[in-house]
Amino acid sequence: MDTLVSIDVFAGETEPGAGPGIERAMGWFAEVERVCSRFDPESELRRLCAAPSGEPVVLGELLFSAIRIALGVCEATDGLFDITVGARMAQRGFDRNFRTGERLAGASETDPGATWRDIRLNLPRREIVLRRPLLLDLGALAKGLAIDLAGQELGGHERWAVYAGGDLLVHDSREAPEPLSIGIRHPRQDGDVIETLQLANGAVCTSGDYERGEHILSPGNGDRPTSISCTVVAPTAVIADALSTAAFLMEPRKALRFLEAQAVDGLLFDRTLRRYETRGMRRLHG
Amino acid sequence: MAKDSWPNGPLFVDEDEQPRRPSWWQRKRPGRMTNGLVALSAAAIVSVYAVGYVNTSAQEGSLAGAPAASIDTAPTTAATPPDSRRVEGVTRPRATPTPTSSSEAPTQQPRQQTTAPTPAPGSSSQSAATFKDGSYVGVGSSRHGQIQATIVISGGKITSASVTGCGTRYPCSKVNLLVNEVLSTQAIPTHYVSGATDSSMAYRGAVQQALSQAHA
Repeated sequence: MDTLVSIDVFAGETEPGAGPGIERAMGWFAEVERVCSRFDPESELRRLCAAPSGEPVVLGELLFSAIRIALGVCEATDGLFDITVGARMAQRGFDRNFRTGERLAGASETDPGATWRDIRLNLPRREIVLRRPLLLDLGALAKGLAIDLAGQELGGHERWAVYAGGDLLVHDSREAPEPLSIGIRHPRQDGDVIETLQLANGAVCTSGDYERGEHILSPGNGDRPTSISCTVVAPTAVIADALSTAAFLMEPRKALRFLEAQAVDGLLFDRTLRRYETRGMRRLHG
Repeated sequence: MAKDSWPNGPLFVDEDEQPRRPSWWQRKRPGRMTNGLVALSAAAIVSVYAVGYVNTSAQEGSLAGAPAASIDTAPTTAATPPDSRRVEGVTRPRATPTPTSSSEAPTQQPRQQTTAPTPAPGSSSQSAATFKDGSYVGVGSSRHGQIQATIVISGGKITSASVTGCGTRYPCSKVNLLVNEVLSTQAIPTHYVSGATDSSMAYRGAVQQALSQAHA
Protein backbone atom coordinates (compact mmCIF):
# COMPACT_ATOMS: atom_id res chain seq x y z
CA MET A 1 0.00 0.00 0.00
CA ASP A 2 3.03 2.18 0.46
CA THR A 3 1.36 4.11 3.21
CA LEU A 4 2.58 4.99 6.64
CA VAL A 5 0.75 3.15 9.37
CA SER A 6 0.60 4.20 12.98
CA ILE A 7 -1.05 2.21 15.76
CA ASP A 8 -1.55 3.82 19.14
CA VAL A 9 -2.66 1.76 22.10
CA PHE A 10 -3.53 3.85 25.12
CA ALA A 11 -2.96 1.04 27.56
CA GLY A 12 -4.07 1.10 31.15
CA GLU A 13 -1.62 -0.05 33.79
CA THR A 14 -3.34 -3.38 34.30
CA GLU A 15 -3.49 -4.21 30.62
CA PRO A 16 -1.08 -6.63 29.02
CA GLY A 17 1.66 -5.27 26.79
CA ALA A 18 0.46 -4.11 23.41
CA GLY A 19 3.51 -5.26 21.43
CA PRO A 20 2.31 -8.63 20.10
CA GLY A 21 -1.12 -7.26 19.18
CA ILE A 22 0.44 -4.34 17.33
CA GLU A 23 2.71 -6.70 15.45
CA ARG A 24 -0.20 -8.86 14.33
CA ALA A 25 -2.17 -5.73 13.46
CA MET A 26 0.67 -4.49 11.24
CA GLY A 27 0.73 -7.90 9.57
CA TRP A 28 -2.72 -7.25 8.11
CA PHE A 29 -1.47 -4.33 6.06
CA ALA A 30 1.12 -6.54 4.42
CA GLU A 31 -1.45 -9.29 3.95
CA VAL A 32 -4.10 -7.06 2.38
CA GLU A 33 -1.53 -5.70 -0.03
CA ARG A 34 -0.27 -9.18 -0.85
CA VAL A 35 -3.80 -10.35 -1.72
CA CYS A 36 -5.45 -7.22 -3.12
CA SER A 37 -2.65 -5.36 -4.92
CA ARG A 38 -3.47 -4.23 -8.41
CA PHE A 39 0.21 -3.86 -9.23
CA ASP A 40 1.66 -7.15 -8.04
CA PRO A 41 1.14 -9.77 -10.80
CA GLU A 42 1.38 -12.48 -8.13
CA SER A 43 -1.42 -11.06 -5.96
CA GLU A 44 -4.56 -13.16 -5.69
CA LEU A 45 -6.47 -10.27 -7.26
CA ARG A 46 -4.24 -10.20 -10.35
CA ARG A 47 -4.29 -13.97 -10.67
CA LEU A 48 -8.07 -13.86 -10.58
CA CYS A 49 -8.11 -11.25 -13.35
CA ALA A 50 -5.67 -13.32 -15.38
CA ALA A 51 -7.83 -16.46 -15.13
CA PRO A 52 -10.02 -17.25 -18.16
CA SER A 53 -13.23 -15.23 -17.96
CA GLY A 54 -16.46 -17.12 -17.48
CA GLU A 55 -14.87 -19.77 -15.30
CA PRO A 56 -15.82 -20.01 -11.63
CA VAL A 57 -12.91 -19.43 -9.30
CA VAL A 58 -12.78 -20.16 -5.57
CA LEU A 59 -11.34 -17.26 -3.59
CA GLY A 60 -9.77 -16.89 -0.18
CA GLU A 61 -11.87 -15.31 2.53
CA LEU A 62 -10.06 -11.97 2.38
CA LEU A 63 -10.40 -11.31 -1.34
CA PHE A 64 -13.91 -12.71 -1.49
CA SER A 65 -15.04 -10.49 1.36
CA ALA A 66 -13.33 -7.43 -0.10
CA ILE A 67 -15.05 -7.96 -3.46
CA ARG A 68 -18.37 -8.63 -1.79
CA ILE A 69 -18.24 -5.37 0.14
CA ALA A 70 -17.07 -3.51 -2.98
CA LEU A 71 -19.94 -4.89 -5.05
CA GLY A 72 -22.32 -3.71 -2.37
CA VAL A 73 -20.98 -0.19 -2.87
CA CYS A 74 -21.13 -0.54 -6.67
CA GLU A 75 -24.76 -1.51 -6.38
CA ALA A 76 -25.66 1.13 -3.82
CA THR A 77 -24.23 3.80 -6.14
CA ASP A 78 -25.76 2.21 -9.22
CA GLY A 79 -22.33 1.85 -10.78
CA LEU A 80 -21.02 5.36 -10.16
CA PHE A 81 -18.46 3.61 -8.01
CA ASP A 82 -17.15 0.67 -10.03
CA ILE A 83 -14.29 -1.66 -9.11
CA THR A 84 -13.83 -2.67 -12.75
CA VAL A 85 -12.62 0.82 -13.57
CA GLY A 86 -9.05 -0.50 -13.31
CA ALA A 87 -8.41 -0.78 -17.03
CA ARG A 88 -9.59 2.76 -17.65
CA MET A 89 -7.39 3.99 -14.83
CA ALA A 90 -4.45 2.36 -16.54
CA GLN A 91 -5.38 3.97 -19.84
CA ARG A 92 -5.38 7.35 -18.13
CA GLY A 93 -1.84 6.77 -16.96
CA PHE A 94 -2.47 5.51 -13.41
CA ASP A 95 -0.58 2.39 -14.26
CA ARG A 96 2.52 2.54 -12.16
CA ASN A 97 3.19 1.03 -8.80
CA PHE A 98 3.77 3.94 -6.42
CA ARG A 99 6.46 1.96 -4.65
CA THR A 100 8.47 0.42 -7.45
CA GLY A 101 7.50 2.46 -10.48
CA GLU A 102 6.66 -0.82 -12.15
CA ARG A 103 4.17 -0.50 -14.96
CA LEU A 104 0.89 -2.32 -14.67
CA ALA A 105 0.63 -5.12 -17.18
CA GLY A 106 -2.47 -6.80 -18.49
CA ALA A 107 -4.64 -3.71 -18.83
CA SER A 108 -4.68 -3.99 -22.59
CA GLU A 109 -6.37 -7.40 -22.64
CA THR A 110 -9.43 -6.23 -20.76
CA ASP A 111 -12.85 -5.56 -22.21
CA PRO A 112 -13.45 -1.80 -22.09
CA GLY A 113 -17.19 -2.40 -21.81
CA ALA A 114 -16.89 -4.49 -18.66
CA THR A 115 -18.65 -3.24 -15.53
CA TRP A 116 -19.26 -4.47 -12.01
CA ARG A 117 -22.34 -6.28 -13.32
CA ASP A 118 -20.03 -8.73 -15.05
CA ILE A 119 -19.00 -10.07 -11.64
CA ARG A 120 -21.00 -12.90 -10.13
CA LEU A 121 -20.55 -14.26 -6.64
CA ASN A 122 -21.69 -17.58 -5.26
CA LEU A 123 -21.75 -17.02 -1.51
CA PRO A 124 -21.90 -20.57 -0.15
CA ARG A 125 -19.12 -21.73 -2.42
CA ARG A 126 -17.07 -18.54 -2.12
CA GLU A 127 -16.85 -18.63 -5.89
CA ILE A 128 -16.55 -15.77 -8.32
CA VAL A 129 -17.16 -15.60 -12.04
CA LEU A 130 -15.82 -12.73 -14.15
CA ARG A 131 -17.99 -12.81 -17.24
CA ARG A 132 -15.68 -10.60 -19.27
CA PRO A 133 -11.94 -10.04 -19.08
CA LEU A 134 -11.55 -7.16 -16.67
CA LEU A 135 -9.17 -5.63 -14.21
CA LEU A 136 -10.38 -5.22 -10.65
CA ASP A 137 -9.28 -2.33 -8.50
CA LEU A 138 -9.93 -2.50 -4.77
CA GLY A 139 -7.80 0.58 -4.11
CA ALA A 140 -10.76 2.55 -2.78
CA LEU A 141 -11.33 0.19 0.10
CA ALA A 142 -8.30 -2.07 0.63
CA LYS A 143 -6.64 0.33 3.06
CA GLY A 144 -9.85 0.68 5.05
CA LEU A 145 -10.25 -3.08 5.23
CA ALA A 146 -6.68 -3.46 6.48
CA ILE A 147 -7.38 -0.85 9.17
CA ASP A 148 -10.48 -2.75 10.31
CA LEU A 149 -8.61 -6.04 10.43
CA ALA A 150 -5.75 -4.43 12.34
CA GLY A 151 -8.30 -3.12 14.82
CA GLN A 152 -9.60 -6.63 15.40
CA GLU A 153 -6.14 -7.60 16.65
CA LEU A 154 -6.32 -4.89 19.31
CA GLY A 155 -9.57 -6.19 20.78
CA GLY A 156 -7.92 -6.89 24.13
CA HIS A 157 -7.32 -3.20 24.72
CA GLU A 158 -9.84 -0.62 25.79
CA ARG A 159 -8.59 2.33 23.82
CA TRP A 160 -6.66 2.44 20.59
CA ALA A 161 -6.33 4.16 17.23
CA VAL A 162 -5.18 2.80 13.89
CA TYR A 163 -4.06 5.51 11.50
CA ALA A 164 -2.96 4.76 7.93
CA GLY A 165 -2.24 7.41 5.37
CA GLY A 166 -4.89 9.80 6.61
CA ASP A 167 -7.57 7.20 7.34
CA LEU A 168 -8.35 6.53 10.97
CA LEU A 169 -10.21 4.03 13.14
CA VAL A 170 -10.58 4.86 16.82
CA HIS A 171 -11.95 2.72 19.61
CA ASP A 172 -12.73 3.37 23.26
CA SER A 173 -14.75 0.73 25.07
CA ARG A 174 -14.54 2.34 28.52
CA GLU A 175 -17.68 3.42 30.31
CA ALA A 176 -16.90 7.06 29.72
CA PRO A 177 -15.23 7.17 26.32
CA GLU A 178 -12.85 10.04 25.73
CA PRO A 179 -13.12 11.39 22.20
CA LEU A 180 -9.98 12.00 20.19
CA SER A 181 -9.52 15.17 18.18
CA ILE A 182 -9.39 14.41 14.50
CA GLY A 183 -8.56 17.15 12.08
CA ILE A 184 -9.99 17.17 8.58
CA ARG A 185 -7.35 18.26 6.14
CA HIS A 186 -7.98 21.59 4.49
CA PRO A 187 -8.45 20.78 0.81
CA ARG A 188 -6.69 23.91 -0.39
CA GLN A 189 -4.26 24.98 2.34
CA ASP A 190 -1.59 22.40 2.94
CA GLY A 191 -0.82 21.73 6.56
CA ASP A 192 -4.04 23.31 7.76
CA VAL A 193 -7.21 21.67 9.00
CA ILE A 194 -10.63 22.87 7.92
CA GLU A 195 -12.60 21.20 10.68
CA THR A 196 -11.96 19.22 13.86
CA LEU A 197 -14.12 16.30 14.88
CA GLN A 198 -14.41 14.69 18.31
CA LEU A 199 -14.82 10.96 17.96
CA ALA A 200 -14.36 8.14 20.46
CA ASN A 201 -15.52 5.21 18.34
CA GLY A 202 -15.60 4.91 14.58
CA ALA A 203 -13.70 5.43 11.37
CA VAL A 204 -12.94 8.64 9.51
CA CYS A 205 -11.79 8.69 5.89
CA THR A 206 -11.36 11.68 3.63
CA SER A 207 -11.18 11.65 -0.16
CA GLY A 208 -9.92 14.71 -1.91
CA ASP A 209 -8.47 15.90 -5.15
CA TYR A 210 -5.12 16.79 -3.57
CA GLU A 211 -2.92 13.95 -2.39
CA ARG A 212 -2.05 12.24 -5.66
CA GLY A 213 -3.59 14.67 -8.03
CA GLU A 214 -7.04 13.94 -9.30
CA HIS A 215 -6.79 10.21 -8.92
CA ILE A 216 -10.42 9.32 -8.47
CA LEU A 217 -11.94 8.38 -11.77
CA SER A 218 -15.59 7.69 -12.19
CA PRO A 219 -16.51 5.23 -14.89
CA GLY A 220 -19.65 7.13 -15.80
CA ASN A 221 -18.24 10.09 -17.68
CA GLY A 222 -15.17 12.26 -17.81
CA ASP A 223 -16.63 15.06 -15.72
CA ARG A 224 -14.60 16.33 -12.84
CA PRO A 225 -16.30 15.95 -9.49
CA THR A 226 -17.65 19.12 -7.97
CA SER A 227 -16.60 18.20 -4.44
CA ILE A 228 -12.99 18.82 -3.56
CA SER A 229 -13.10 17.03 -0.21
CA CYS A 230 -15.39 14.35 1.15
CA THR A 231 -15.09 12.97 4.68
CA VAL A 232 -17.14 10.01 5.85
CA VAL A 233 -17.55 8.84 9.44
CA ALA A 234 -18.75 5.24 9.67
CA PRO A 235 -18.54 2.32 12.07
CA THR A 236 -16.05 0.51 9.86
CA ALA A 237 -13.05 1.92 8.03
CA VAL A 238 -13.71 -0.11 4.89
CA ILE A 239 -17.12 1.53 4.48
CA ALA A 240 -15.80 4.98 5.39
CA ASP A 241 -13.04 4.49 2.82
CA ALA A 242 -15.28 3.23 0.01
CA LEU A 243 -18.14 5.64 0.67
CA SER A 244 -15.86 8.67 0.89
CA THR A 245 -14.61 7.78 -2.57
CA ALA A 246 -18.11 7.09 -3.87
CA ALA A 247 -19.71 10.22 -2.37
CA PHE A 248 -16.81 12.34 -3.62
CA LEU A 249 -17.97 11.49 -7.14
CA MET A 250 -21.47 12.84 -6.54
CA GLU A 251 -22.96 16.28 -6.56
CA PRO A 252 -22.63 17.32 -2.86
CA ARG A 253 -26.33 17.44 -2.02
CA LYS A 254 -26.88 14.09 -3.63
CA ALA A 255 -23.88 12.78 -1.73
CA LEU A 256 -25.48 13.77 1.58
CA ARG A 257 -28.71 11.99 0.72
CA PHE A 258 -26.73 8.93 -0.31
CA LEU A 259 -24.68 8.89 2.89
CA GLU A 260 -27.71 9.38 5.12
CA ALA A 261 -29.44 6.49 3.36
CA GLN A 262 -26.42 4.37 4.22
CA ALA A 263 -26.67 5.44 7.87
CA VAL A 264 -23.23 7.07 7.87
CA ASP A 265 -22.15 10.68 8.30
CA GLY A 266 -20.48 12.92 5.78
CA LEU A 267 -18.84 16.33 5.43
CA LEU A 268 -18.13 17.71 1.95
CA PHE A 269 -16.66 20.88 0.54
CA ASP A 270 -17.12 22.17 -2.96
CA ARG A 271 -14.73 24.38 -4.94
CA THR A 272 -15.94 27.51 -3.19
CA LEU A 273 -15.30 25.77 0.17
CA ARG A 274 -19.00 25.73 0.82
CA ARG A 275 -19.79 23.10 3.43
CA TYR A 276 -22.31 20.28 3.14
CA GLU A 277 -22.84 17.91 6.07
CA THR A 278 -25.22 15.31 7.39
CA ARG A 279 -27.16 16.06 10.54
CA GLY A 280 -25.21 13.51 12.54
CA MET A 281 -21.92 15.12 11.55
CA ARG A 282 -22.80 18.33 13.39
CA ARG A 283 -22.75 16.47 16.68
CA LEU A 284 -19.12 15.55 16.11
CA HIS A 285 -17.73 19.04 15.82
CA GLY A 286 -15.20 19.89 18.49
CA MET B 1 -32.30 -18.58 -16.68
CA ALA B 2 -33.87 -16.67 -13.89
CA LYS B 3 -30.83 -14.52 -13.31
CA ASP B 4 -31.36 -12.68 -16.55
CA SER B 5 -34.75 -11.52 -15.38
CA TRP B 6 -32.99 -9.51 -12.68
CA PRO B 7 -30.70 -7.20 -14.55
CA ASN B 8 -29.68 -4.96 -11.70
CA GLY B 9 -27.08 -5.83 -9.18
CA PRO B 10 -24.63 -8.62 -8.70
CA LEU B 11 -26.26 -11.95 -8.54
CA PHE B 12 -25.72 -13.59 -5.23
CA VAL B 13 -26.45 -17.14 -6.13
CA ASP B 14 -27.55 -19.64 -3.55
CA GLU B 15 -26.46 -23.22 -3.57
CA ASP B 16 -29.62 -24.15 -5.46
CA GLU B 17 -28.75 -21.56 -8.12
CA GLN B 18 -31.75 -19.41 -7.27
CA PRO B 19 -30.85 -15.74 -7.38
CA ARG B 20 -31.70 -13.77 -4.31
CA ARG B 21 -31.43 -10.17 -3.33
CA PRO B 22 -28.52 -9.22 -1.13
CA SER B 23 -29.22 -8.45 2.47
CA TRP B 24 -29.02 -4.69 2.03
CA TRP B 25 -31.61 -4.69 -0.74
CA GLN B 26 -34.22 -2.99 1.43
CA ARG B 27 -32.12 0.19 1.30
CA LYS B 28 -33.64 0.90 -2.10
CA ARG B 29 -37.08 1.46 -0.68
CA PRO B 30 -37.69 5.18 -0.74
CA GLY B 31 -37.18 6.96 2.52
CA ARG B 32 -35.91 3.91 4.27
CA MET B 33 -32.68 4.13 6.17
CA THR B 34 -30.59 1.10 6.77
CA ASN B 35 -27.05 0.35 7.66
CA GLY B 36 -26.88 -2.59 5.28
CA LEU B 37 -23.43 -1.85 3.90
CA VAL B 38 -22.07 -1.22 7.36
CA ALA B 39 -23.52 -4.48 8.65
CA LEU B 40 -22.19 -6.34 5.64
CA SER B 41 -18.71 -4.95 6.20
CA ALA B 42 -18.75 -5.67 9.93
CA ALA B 43 -19.68 -9.30 9.30
CA ALA B 44 -17.03 -9.63 6.61
CA ILE B 45 -14.32 -8.19 8.87
CA VAL B 46 -15.15 -10.69 11.58
CA SER B 47 -15.11 -13.62 9.18
CA VAL B 48 -11.81 -12.61 7.59
CA TYR B 49 -10.28 -12.03 11.01
CA ALA B 50 -11.51 -15.41 12.19
CA VAL B 51 -9.67 -17.09 9.36
CA GLY B 52 -6.49 -15.21 10.23
CA TYR B 53 -4.03 -13.79 7.81
CA VAL B 54 -1.87 -16.84 7.50
CA ASN B 55 -4.92 -18.64 6.14
CA THR B 56 -6.71 -15.94 4.20
CA SER B 57 -5.65 -17.32 0.86
CA ALA B 58 -7.55 -20.09 -0.82
CA GLN B 59 -6.13 -23.54 -0.50
CA GLU B 60 -3.68 -25.28 -2.77
CA GLY B 61 -4.70 -25.65 -6.38
CA SER B 62 -6.61 -22.41 -6.53
CA LEU B 63 -5.42 -18.94 -7.39
CA ALA B 64 -3.72 -17.99 -4.21
CA GLY B 65 -0.83 -20.30 -4.07
CA ALA B 66 1.67 -17.97 -2.50
CA PRO B 67 2.99 -19.44 0.72
CA ALA B 68 2.05 -17.74 3.92
CA ALA B 69 5.71 -17.48 4.73
CA SER B 70 6.04 -14.69 2.21
CA ILE B 71 4.14 -12.30 4.45
CA ASP B 72 6.43 -9.55 5.49
CA THR B 73 5.82 -8.85 9.09
CA ALA B 74 6.08 -5.15 9.45
CA PRO B 75 8.53 -3.93 12.03
CA THR B 76 6.78 -2.87 15.16
CA THR B 77 7.65 -2.05 18.65
CA ALA B 78 7.00 -3.53 22.03
CA ALA B 79 8.81 -0.88 23.97
CA THR B 80 6.75 1.33 26.20
CA PRO B 81 8.24 4.74 26.69
CA PRO B 82 8.74 5.00 30.42
CA ASP B 83 6.81 8.19 30.97
CA SER B 84 4.06 7.53 28.55
CA ARG B 85 1.35 4.96 28.51
CA ARG B 86 1.46 4.89 24.81
CA VAL B 87 3.00 2.43 22.44
CA GLU B 88 3.45 3.21 18.86
CA GLY B 89 4.75 1.61 15.76
CA VAL B 90 5.19 3.77 12.74
CA THR B 91 6.11 1.78 9.75
CA ARG B 92 5.75 1.22 6.10
CA PRO B 93 4.29 -2.17 5.38
CA ARG B 94 6.73 -4.32 3.46
CA ALA B 95 9.37 -1.69 3.87
CA THR B 96 12.47 -2.47 1.93
CA PRO B 97 15.58 -2.28 4.02
CA THR B 98 17.12 1.13 3.68
CA PRO B 99 19.64 2.97 5.78
CA THR B 100 16.81 5.03 7.16
CA SER B 101 14.47 2.21 8.06
CA SER B 102 15.27 2.33 11.73
CA SER B 103 13.81 5.77 12.00
CA GLU B 104 10.49 4.58 10.70
CA ALA B 105 9.72 3.04 14.04
CA PRO B 106 10.99 5.78 16.26
CA THR B 107 9.99 4.20 19.54
CA GLN B 108 11.66 0.95 18.80
CA GLN B 109 14.92 1.87 20.41
CA PRO B 110 14.27 5.23 21.93
CA ARG B 111 17.20 4.94 24.29
CA GLN B 112 19.69 4.11 21.60
CA GLN B 113 19.45 7.25 19.57
CA THR B 114 22.93 8.66 19.56
CA THR B 115 22.53 11.37 17.00
CA ALA B 116 21.21 13.94 19.41
CA PRO B 117 23.46 16.39 21.15
CA THR B 118 23.60 15.62 24.83
CA PRO B 119 21.86 18.05 27.10
CA ALA B 120 24.04 20.81 28.38
CA PRO B 121 25.58 19.80 31.69
CA GLY B 122 24.00 21.30 34.76
CA SER B 123 20.98 22.52 32.88
CA SER B 124 18.55 19.96 34.23
CA SER B 125 15.57 21.57 35.73
CA GLN B 126 14.88 20.66 39.34
CA SER B 127 11.24 21.59 39.04
CA ALA B 128 8.44 19.14 38.51
CA ALA B 129 9.07 19.35 34.81
CA THR B 130 8.39 16.38 32.62
CA PHE B 131 11.38 16.92 30.39
CA LYS B 132 15.08 17.40 30.94
CA ASP B 133 16.47 20.64 29.59
CA GLY B 134 18.53 20.42 26.45
CA SER B 135 18.02 20.06 22.77
CA TYR B 136 17.10 16.80 21.16
CA VAL B 137 16.98 15.73 17.56
CA GLY B 138 14.61 13.20 16.08
CA VAL B 139 14.02 11.94 12.57
CA GLY B 140 10.79 10.69 11.08
CA SER B 141 10.20 9.17 7.68
CA SER B 142 7.48 9.05 5.13
CA ARG B 143 7.40 7.76 1.63
CA HIS B 144 8.03 11.31 0.48
CA GLY B 145 11.23 11.58 2.50
CA GLN B 146 12.46 12.42 5.95
CA ILE B 147 11.89 15.23 8.38
CA GLN B 148 14.30 16.11 11.17
CA ALA B 149 12.88 17.97 14.14
CA THR B 150 14.83 19.61 16.94
CA ILE B 151 13.13 19.98 20.28
CA VAL B 152 14.49 22.53 22.72
CA ILE B 153 13.54 22.05 26.36
CA SER B 154 14.07 24.97 28.65
CA GLY B 155 12.84 25.13 32.22
CA GLY B 156 11.23 21.76 31.66
CA LYS B 157 9.08 23.07 28.86
CA ILE B 158 9.21 22.62 25.11
CA THR B 159 10.19 26.02 23.80
CA SER B 160 10.92 25.05 20.22
CA ALA B 161 9.98 22.13 18.01
CA SER B 162 11.16 23.33 14.67
CA VAL B 163 11.88 21.42 11.52
CA THR B 164 15.67 21.46 11.15
CA GLY B 165 15.98 19.09 8.24
CA CYS B 166 13.60 18.75 5.36
CA GLY B 167 14.20 15.85 3.01
CA THR B 168 10.69 15.50 1.70
CA ARG B 169 9.64 16.07 -1.84
CA TYR B 170 7.25 18.76 -0.67
CA PRO B 171 7.93 21.86 1.39
CA CYS B 172 8.06 21.14 5.10
CA SER B 173 6.03 24.27 5.77
CA LYS B 174 3.11 21.85 5.58
CA VAL B 175 3.73 20.80 9.16
CA ASN B 176 3.74 24.29 10.68
CA LEU B 177 0.36 23.68 12.20
CA LEU B 178 1.74 20.69 14.04
CA VAL B 179 4.71 22.69 15.31
CA ASN B 180 2.30 25.07 17.01
CA GLU B 181 0.39 22.16 18.42
CA VAL B 182 3.52 20.70 20.02
CA LEU B 183 4.24 24.05 21.66
CA SER B 184 0.71 24.52 22.94
CA THR B 185 0.13 20.97 24.17
CA GLN B 186 3.73 20.26 25.24
CA ALA B 187 3.38 16.81 23.76
CA ILE B 188 3.71 14.72 20.66
CA PRO B 189 0.98 15.78 18.26
CA THR B 190 -1.90 13.41 18.81
CA HIS B 191 -3.97 15.38 16.44
CA TYR B 192 -4.89 12.88 13.80
CA VAL B 193 -5.60 14.50 10.49
CA SER B 194 -7.95 12.72 8.10
CA GLY B 195 -6.67 13.03 4.57
CA ALA B 196 -3.31 14.08 5.95
CA THR B 197 -0.09 14.25 4.09
CA ASP B 198 2.63 11.84 4.95
CA SER B 199 4.82 14.76 5.95
CA SER B 200 2.73 15.27 9.07
CA MET B 201 3.27 11.63 9.95
CA ALA B 202 7.00 12.08 9.47
CA TYR B 203 7.05 15.15 11.70
CA ARG B 204 5.09 13.31 14.35
CA GLY B 205 7.63 10.49 14.27
CA ALA B 206 10.50 12.95 14.53
CA VAL B 207 9.03 14.72 17.55
CA GLN B 208 8.30 11.44 19.21
CA GLN B 209 11.85 10.26 18.73
CA ALA B 210 13.30 13.52 20.03
CA LEU B 211 11.01 13.68 23.05
CA SER B 212 11.71 10.09 24.01
CA GLN B 213 15.25 11.22 24.79
CA ALA B 214 14.11 14.17 26.85
CA HIS B 215 12.29 12.16 29.45
CA ALA B 216 14.13 12.19 32.72
